[in-house]
Amino acid sequence: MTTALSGEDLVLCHQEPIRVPGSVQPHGALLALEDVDGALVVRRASANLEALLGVAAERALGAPLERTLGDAAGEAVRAGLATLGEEASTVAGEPRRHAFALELDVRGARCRLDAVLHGNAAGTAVLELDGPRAADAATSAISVHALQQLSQRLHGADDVAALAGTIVREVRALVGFDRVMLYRFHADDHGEVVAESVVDGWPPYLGLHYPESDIPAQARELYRRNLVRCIAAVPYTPAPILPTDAEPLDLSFSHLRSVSPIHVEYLENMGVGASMSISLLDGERLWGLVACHHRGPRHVDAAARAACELLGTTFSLLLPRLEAAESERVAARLRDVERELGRRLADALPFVDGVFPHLPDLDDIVAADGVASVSPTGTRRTGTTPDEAALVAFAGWLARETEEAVFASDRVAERYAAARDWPEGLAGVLAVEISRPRGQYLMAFRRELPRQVRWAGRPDEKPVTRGEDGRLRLSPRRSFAAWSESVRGTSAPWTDVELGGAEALRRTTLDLIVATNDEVLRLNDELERSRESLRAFAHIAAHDLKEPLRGIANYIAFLTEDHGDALDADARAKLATIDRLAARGTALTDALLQFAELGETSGRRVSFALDDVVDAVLEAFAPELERRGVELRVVRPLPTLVGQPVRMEQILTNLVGNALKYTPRPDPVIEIAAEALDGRVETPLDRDSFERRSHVVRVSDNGIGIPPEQHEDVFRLFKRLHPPDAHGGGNGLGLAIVRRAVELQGGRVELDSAPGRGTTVRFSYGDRHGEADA
Amino acid sequence: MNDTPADGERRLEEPAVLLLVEDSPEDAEAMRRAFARAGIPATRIIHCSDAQQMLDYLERRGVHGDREELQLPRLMILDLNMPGIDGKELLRRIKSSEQWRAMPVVVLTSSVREEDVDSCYRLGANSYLCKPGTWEELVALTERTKRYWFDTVLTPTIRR
Repeated sequence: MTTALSGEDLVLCHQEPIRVPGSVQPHGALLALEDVDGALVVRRASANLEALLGVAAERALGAPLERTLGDAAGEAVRAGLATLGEEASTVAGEPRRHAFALELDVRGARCRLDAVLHGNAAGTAVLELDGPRAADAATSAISVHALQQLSQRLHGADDVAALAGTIVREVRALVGFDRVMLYRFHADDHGEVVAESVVDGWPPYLGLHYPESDIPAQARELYRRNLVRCIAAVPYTPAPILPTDAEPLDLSFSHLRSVSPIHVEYLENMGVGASMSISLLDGERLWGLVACHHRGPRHVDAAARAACELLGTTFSLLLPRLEAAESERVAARLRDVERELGRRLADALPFVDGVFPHLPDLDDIVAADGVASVSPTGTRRTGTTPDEAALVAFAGWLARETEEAVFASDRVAERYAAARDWPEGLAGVLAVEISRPRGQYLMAFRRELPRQVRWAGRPDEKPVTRGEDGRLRLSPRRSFAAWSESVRGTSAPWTDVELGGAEALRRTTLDLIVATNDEVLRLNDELERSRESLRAFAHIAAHDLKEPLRGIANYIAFLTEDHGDALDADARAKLATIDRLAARGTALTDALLQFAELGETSGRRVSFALDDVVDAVLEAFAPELERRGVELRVVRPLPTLVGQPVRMEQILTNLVGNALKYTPRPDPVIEIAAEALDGRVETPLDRDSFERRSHVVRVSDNGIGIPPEQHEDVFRLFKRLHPPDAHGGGNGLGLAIVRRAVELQGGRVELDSAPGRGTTVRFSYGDRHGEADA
Repeated sequence: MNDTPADGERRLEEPAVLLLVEDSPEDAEAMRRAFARAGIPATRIIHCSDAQQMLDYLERRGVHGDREELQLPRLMILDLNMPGIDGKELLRRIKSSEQWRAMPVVVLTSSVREEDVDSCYRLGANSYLCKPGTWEELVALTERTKRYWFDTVLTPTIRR
């Protein structure tokens, strides 16, 4: 992890006057010129003028340039100024520059000097002169042929990594530094050495990371604008620019610009005697630096600097194409993934149960330690994943707290604290939203990687110290030995291909859902038709079955009437059995018909007194209630409800019938009560329906009860818990009819029952806000 | 078993009082026996096994066309589910006819569909009864029907 700049650091960086240091490096001299009525007057001069050219700065100041350089060189500078007006700037929008050579006499000897002219904001021209050429200077001008070869090698690179390797090799060959690195800025601006060419015996820096604060924003901005930067020898004594009391000159574009003392200390700590950097741009953005270090002093002359700048700009020009090619390779892989997914999913069509169960696991697309598909109706897990409850909780968090359709993190605990409790150090997660409202996600998990980040020095070493005057000062890190930091709670990052594959999976899924919709509509039609046939069948079955059953019953009666005398007891008993069976068949077809007809008519909703319906039901059961000595407890008055009284009668008839049937004791009790819901939430029943239903109606008995494990079964069609002849022969439809009738009215049924404790059936009923139909 | 009582058994002083439209011979037999118990012997029942026969009887055509009654029986018991012209259609024709509409018609069917109940009453049925599943219930129902339509209410006189 990088050491992020604190606010204090930033203030200090801004305070550091790196653009206007007021001095130059001592290996070259600087003059600022002003055109006064055709005469070029020296307004500023670096104090080392005398040491380099034998002319005291004090003498040069305020005098025409010719007094310092002589007439011939003065003429060359005038020519250079004229050319400067025609030059294009290297970096768009920045001042123009013109480099040329000067010949002049220094202390009586003829010398060649590299000169650079550039304008500055103040309207003056700045002339920078390298010191007279020394014998140990790096190669001077290289041939056009050699430059062409360099350019060709850069063009030959197939990808960014090859390009980086090529440029560090070629720059090192060109300028002969001990170490040439490609320092790439990451998205958070911390740096990493991604290519290196280094002399034998020096430790490699390849793969090292540098905190963002090593090259702060202000310095990065200068690198972006000034493409080649040299520091010829450290440590050095800066040459002040005279007069010192004048407004400091902006030296942003000066190659002689004196370097920040902090940077000098930084280089010294690394054992560096000279450095050069070449800026690499991706459009406007500083993409990286070719950073060159040499153990001793090393001067790079103007021609070599120009060649380096050319290499850098070539690199910058090639970069977008190679990065685009890399993106294209990623995109091509993604298209393959997408095609493959589409083909596999299409093979699985049609999805009667929805698309979700058919989706492939994410580990088809990404490398993961575990994968899961999470849906409230069921969770599928493979490999190392959080448990089901944790997955559902995480899916809930994703739905509530994230915006992304594809959520990816290599350290999810930083955003989702509960992830700290996930097993086996799971730290990375990739989640693909299939349906947010349904809470359906595909997820992939990665364990934390005890990732080693090799830092150049301890990244947490304080970059700020307090100087003798008590003020805070920046001071660079002293140790540059590679320092490894073990990163916990972080998994391997999700790559662009993986993220794109996840997105492709999501897109394919959505396409399929749309396609499946048609299929669902068709199936709906089919379903509607088969429901219709089923209703028709139920009618026909009921009618056509009932007729012969009725006939059997009747003819048994006729046989007994007409020929009773001829029948013995055994024959009569057998006839009685036939009669009973026929009666049961009739009851069964009646119930079946009733059930089939439940969904058929929506029916009118009216306001009715529950008391009246209960009376009617109890009246129908009166003979049996009396015969069995049932104690009836009806909590009167019962409320007035809005709904369908016929349905209510059906419901209560079935419930009272069941209560009678399953309470085979000498002291049966049947209780009927109703209470208003009033928006109260006390039971799941209330919660599900209190908003729409006005009341809960309850029918209780003190009968045999129902074991909890059968509470769901009893509501199923034809699910009978007892043998056909026990308890007066239930037909297995009673509670199914009750549930359907209640649910058709928008209510819910629940059961409170246990063996020996009796049975209570509660159901919600009545339109809470509804009005009776007119 | 015969669909209709032999003509010889019928006497003039005992005119038919009940029209029964029932396509199932077994149900018809059960009805005859049940009404006999309730006090209306089979001789006083005219049974038509489909709607066409009933129309023929009313219009003095076909099987029952030669019957001598000038006055219609007091009550019609009508099954709904019949081949050919079904019970509802027959009901509709009777109740939309100036001549016959006053005749009380009791629908007796195995259908408990609300839709059937509603439409029969809308067509003008005078009551709607469901065929019971057991003999005892049929006897009880028949007795109640007889008591109501023959002993309690007055019925119109309709000439044929």
